[in-house]
Amino acid sequence: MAKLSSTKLETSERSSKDGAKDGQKKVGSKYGKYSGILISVALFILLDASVMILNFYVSFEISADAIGINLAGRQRMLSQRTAKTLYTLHSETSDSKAFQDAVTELTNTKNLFDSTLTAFTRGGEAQGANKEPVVLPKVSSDEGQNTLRSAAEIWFDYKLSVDALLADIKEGRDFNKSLDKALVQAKSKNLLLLGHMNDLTINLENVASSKASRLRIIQTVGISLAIINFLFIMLHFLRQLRDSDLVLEQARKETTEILQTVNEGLFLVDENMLIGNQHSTHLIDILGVADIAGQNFQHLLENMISEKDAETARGFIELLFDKKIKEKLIGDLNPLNLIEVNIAQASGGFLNKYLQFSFARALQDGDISHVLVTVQDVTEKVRLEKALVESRKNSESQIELLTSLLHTHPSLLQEFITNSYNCYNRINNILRQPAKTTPLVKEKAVSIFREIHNFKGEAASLKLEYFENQAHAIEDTLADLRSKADITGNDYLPLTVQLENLISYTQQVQQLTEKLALFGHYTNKALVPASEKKILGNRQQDGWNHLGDFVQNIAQRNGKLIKFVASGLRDIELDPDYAQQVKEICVQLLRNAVTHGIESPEDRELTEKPIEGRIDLRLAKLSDEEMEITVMDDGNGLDYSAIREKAIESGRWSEEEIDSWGNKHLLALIFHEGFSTAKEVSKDAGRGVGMEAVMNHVLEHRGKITVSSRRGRHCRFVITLPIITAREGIAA
Amino acid sequence: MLSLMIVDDSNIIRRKIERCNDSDKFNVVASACNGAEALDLFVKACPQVVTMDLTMPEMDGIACIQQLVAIDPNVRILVISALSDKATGIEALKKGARGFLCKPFTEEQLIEALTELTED
Repeated sequence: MAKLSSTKLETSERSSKDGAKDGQKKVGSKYGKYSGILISVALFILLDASVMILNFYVSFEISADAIGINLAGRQRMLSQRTAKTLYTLHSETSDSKAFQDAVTELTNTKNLFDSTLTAFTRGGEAQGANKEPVVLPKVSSDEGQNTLRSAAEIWFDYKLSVDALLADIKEGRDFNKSLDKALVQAKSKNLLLLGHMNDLTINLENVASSKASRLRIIQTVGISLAIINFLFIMLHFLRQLRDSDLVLEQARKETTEILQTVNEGLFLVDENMLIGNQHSTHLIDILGVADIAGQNFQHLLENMISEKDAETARGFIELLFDKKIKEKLIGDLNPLNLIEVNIAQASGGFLNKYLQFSFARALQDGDISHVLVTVQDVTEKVRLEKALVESRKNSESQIELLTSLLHTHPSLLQEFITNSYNCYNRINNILRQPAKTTPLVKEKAVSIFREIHNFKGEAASLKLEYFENQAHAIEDTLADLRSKADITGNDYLPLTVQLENLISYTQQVQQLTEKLALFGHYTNKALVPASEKKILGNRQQDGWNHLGDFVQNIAQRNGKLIKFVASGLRDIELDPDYAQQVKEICVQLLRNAVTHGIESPEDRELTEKPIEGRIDLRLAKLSDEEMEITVMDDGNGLDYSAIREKAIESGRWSEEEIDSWGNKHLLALIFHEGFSTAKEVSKDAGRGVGMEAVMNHVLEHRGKITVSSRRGRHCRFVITLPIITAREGIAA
Repeated sequence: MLSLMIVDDSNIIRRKIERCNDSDKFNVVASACNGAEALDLFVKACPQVVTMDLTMPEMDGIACIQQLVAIDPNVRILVISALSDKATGIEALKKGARGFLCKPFTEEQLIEALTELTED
């Protein structure tokens, strides 16, 4: 191939150099590689034509020569006849008929011989064998002319004597003397004349035969040349055919090689959505279909994606065949840019893949003949991207966790972790308890819900968002379980998975906390100034301070502004486990105050209240045995009509029954399981278990709850509980 | 300088496209906020190029494209829409639009798309 192209290059260089060959160049460029063959064919025709013309000419000459030979032969006969007629005249009497006939014949014979001889010598008309006039060419050979000249010399006297004889006979004179003269001439010259005429005949025959052999040579040479030319044309054709076949074969091989090696699925689609005969080998692997060539692309797609999507893909390909539409400007509409497909496997089952199709117009002479489709299996890429997003999310949550851990006091964290494990243990115990009837199984869900809700509250108070989110997700699962008509122990399986995750996460946090504590130990010693050390120390001992953070955290999340005032939290020494319960009560009441009590800053502004709400938490010792927890907010107060509506909505009581209740009875509902006036379930409100948990703790310790509220002004919860010190313990 | 008509119900998008005026290639001659208004203005202003939103009140983009092409088969319409429904985008091109630009877009992307749209 390289050789071919270099030859072409040379040719074009040559012709561009030579301006005079411009015309030739034009022809050359018009007929290109066919110019050689055209010249050969023209030569062939020219050769054939010239051989034919020559043949024609020579054969004419030969036929003219034949006449000459014939007439030369006749001359021999005429000379004999002249002599014979003279002898007839000599032997016959002058009045006999035979004598008269002989005179006529002698006249004719002499004239014919004479005119023919003249025609041979000079060229001209003579009488043919059939008495018709023929034109004889002048004898061309020197030898012939010499013979003719000698014959003419001999004939001259012979002819004169015959003429004198004929004149005497005609005039009726005595002709014996002239007859004798003529006979003498005949005797002496007839043989010579005969010999000359014989020579002439032989000479003419030789000339004709040499012409015939020349014709044979010309024919042989002409035919040979024609055959050589024909062979040349044939060879040329064959070579060109072989060359173009080689080029085609090479191109085919290269295409096949490309299609076999390329790592993508490649194929052409025509306007009728039919796939072309050639496609890359890899396409079979990608699509999991063997007979792709000639198939309808839309049908092929329908096996992988929905019919509607396949139809959209057809519409898109149709756009590519529309010349008016800009190919560059429709790439975004490619519906097969990334598709998830399930491909049936030979071994049974399906393989999930992500495929990326791209399309490009294929042009032929400026028209869109096909669309080239490229398919890539991007499953690995998509999975990697997903894994990347996942790991980014993980690392973000790790950083989040670290941040929240760094913002939390180690002792509080330690306490949270301990409480968490306790909570998980309690949930495990609940799960382990046998429950055979659906109500009993559902009862488990309610108990677990209560545990998780408390856990969520604690996590929120420490801003441990991950725990909070996980708890919220578990609450969702539990809510689903509770709403099911018929549940069994197996329905708790998803929950156990979620719990497992939470536990392993808690373990991670525990490890991190321990490391941080170690780190904190060093930094406290080395870096933190003495004055700050003292503050840190105080805070670490304080188990209550984080409640302030908790309130602010919930307030921020619910778009509220709150001033939180706490007092007396450290004044009473309590058993640690009991203190934990008391804290739980506080957490729930505070959450309630923030979400239900305090209004949004805008609403507060409208009612001419300070935009910042206020929540008071106060712990006070009533006696050595009793204490009082007060949570008061200056919010909207209890909304009895909302509680009433919720009660009706719950469908648990009839409307008449509810109407008969007083405010006190309605108030009791807020401590009821699954009751909340929040409009939507969020992290902070809406589950309706928080206040129930409070009630449960209070009932457990035989405490008392007092609620006082004024619509639009405030709401106050006062809880009276016994004081349980470390020595007494909860059991007491 | 090619005359351009904007059809979009969002005034923010309209104002963004109007910045094409700075490009020396396009001259915004009309701006419509729905299909019906677009038809009126199209007949008056005879723009060579139109940018077309698909979801609009009164008359949607597809119906509008159909009518504009019926009036002037040589008008070059660029659909500018979000990619929520590719089938609708394809439908719009079948009705006679010649290109598609995905929202959101940058000023450069818009000029590039319009230039490509108006090249032969």
